[in-house]
Amino acid sequence: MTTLDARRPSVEDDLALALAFATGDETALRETYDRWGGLVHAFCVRSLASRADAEEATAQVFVNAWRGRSGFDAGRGSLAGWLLGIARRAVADISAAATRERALREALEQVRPVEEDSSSPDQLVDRLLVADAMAQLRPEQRRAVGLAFYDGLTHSQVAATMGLPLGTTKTHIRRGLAVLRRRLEVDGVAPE
Amino acid sequence: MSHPSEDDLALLALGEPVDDVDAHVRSCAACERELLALASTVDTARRAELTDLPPPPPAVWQRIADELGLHEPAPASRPRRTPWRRPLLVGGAALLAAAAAAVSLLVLPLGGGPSPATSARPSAPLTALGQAAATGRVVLADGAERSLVVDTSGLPEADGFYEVWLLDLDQGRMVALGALDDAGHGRLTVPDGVRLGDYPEVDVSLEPDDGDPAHSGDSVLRGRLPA
Repeated sequence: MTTLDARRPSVEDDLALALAFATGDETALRETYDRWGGLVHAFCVRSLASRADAEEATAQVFVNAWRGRSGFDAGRGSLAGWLLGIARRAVADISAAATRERALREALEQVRPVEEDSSSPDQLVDRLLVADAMAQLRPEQRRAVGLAFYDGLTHSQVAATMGLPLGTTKTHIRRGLAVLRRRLEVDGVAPE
Repeated sequence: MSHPSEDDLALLALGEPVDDVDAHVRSCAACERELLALASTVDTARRAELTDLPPPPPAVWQRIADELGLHEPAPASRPRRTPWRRPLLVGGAALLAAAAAAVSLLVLPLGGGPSPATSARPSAPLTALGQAAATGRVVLADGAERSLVVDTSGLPEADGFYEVWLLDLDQGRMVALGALDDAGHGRLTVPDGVRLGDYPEVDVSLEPDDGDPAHSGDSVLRGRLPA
C-alpha cells in the first residue's frame, strides 16, 4: 500500500474552513492561506513573468478575499475556486499594467517582445482545481486514478499493479473521474 | 441496445478500448455528450501538475498581514490616555443608513476544527447611539483577556475610520485600542498596563483622518465589556 499524507484535508474540512472564513474568523484566514496559498501562488507564478509580480498578486488575492468575504457563498462553489477567480482578476490587473509598461518600453527601445506562456488563464485555473481535487481523493482511489491517467495503464494493468479486483479498480477510476468532473463543473472556468 | 455502464464510459474517456460499446456511443447523442464531458475532464487532469504546490515565500504573508493590520500593535507604544477634550456626543453626526441584520459573533462550531469557538467566549452587544441602525458585538477573545474582537454591522462608509476605545466614564479616562477594518471588524490588543476592570465600557467612534489622536466626540456604538 502506498504511504500517503495522513493530514490529507477532507471535503468536510474544507467546507468547515470556508464557513469559518466567511464569518470573519481571522484564524480561518491564516488557515485558508496555509491551505491554498500554494495553489494561488502557483497560478500567479505561471501567469506572470516576474516573481515579484507573482508575490504581489498572491498577497493581493488574500487581502481582497478577506475584505470581500461577504461575497463568498459556500453554496455556490468552493473557497478554492473563489480564490482562483480573485487571482485571475489580480493577475489581469498586474498584467495589464506590465503590458502597458512593456509596450511603452518597447516603443522606446524597439525591442522585440518575448513570447509568453500561451495557455489561457481559464485553462490554468481548471488544471489547478483538478490538481487540488486529486489531492483529496481517498488514497486507494487516487492511486488508481494516477496509474490510469498518468502512467497510461489499462484498468487491468492497474488492478494487477495494485492487487485489486477488476471491478473495484473500475469503480475507483469511475468515481475518481466523477469527482474531478464535478469540481470542474462547479468551479471550472474554461469553456468545454 | 442498452447504454454502456458508467464504468465503461470512464474507460473510454481514458482512451481504453471497450468491447461492443463503440458502435452504440457513436450513434447515441446522450452517451456521446457524456463521453465528451468525461474526456474533457481527463484531458484537463492530464495537463494538471500533481506535484505538491509549495507555499508562497514568507514575505507574502507579511504583506497580507500588513495590509489587513493583522499584527499585534508594537508593545513599545504607550496607551493613549487622552484627557477629556470634548464631551462625548451621543448620536453625533448620525449618518447611519438602513438597518442591517445584527451580527452575531458566534462562530459556527467546527467538528474537530482547530479554530477557537468564539461562541464560548464572554461577549456583549454594542448598541448604536442616536438614530443609528448599526449593531455590534465585543468578545473577549482569549483567556488572558488581553485581546478583544469587535464585530459590527451597518456602519456606513464614511470619510475617516472607525476606532475602538475603552472608556471609564466615571473618571473621564479612555484608551484607544485601534481601528476597525473596512469590514467593520477588528481584533485588538489591550495594551500592557491597562486593566480591563478599570474601563467598563467599549466605544466605537468615527474618526476623521486629521492625524489628531484624540477622540472625535462622534461615538457610534457603545456597550459594556462582558464580565
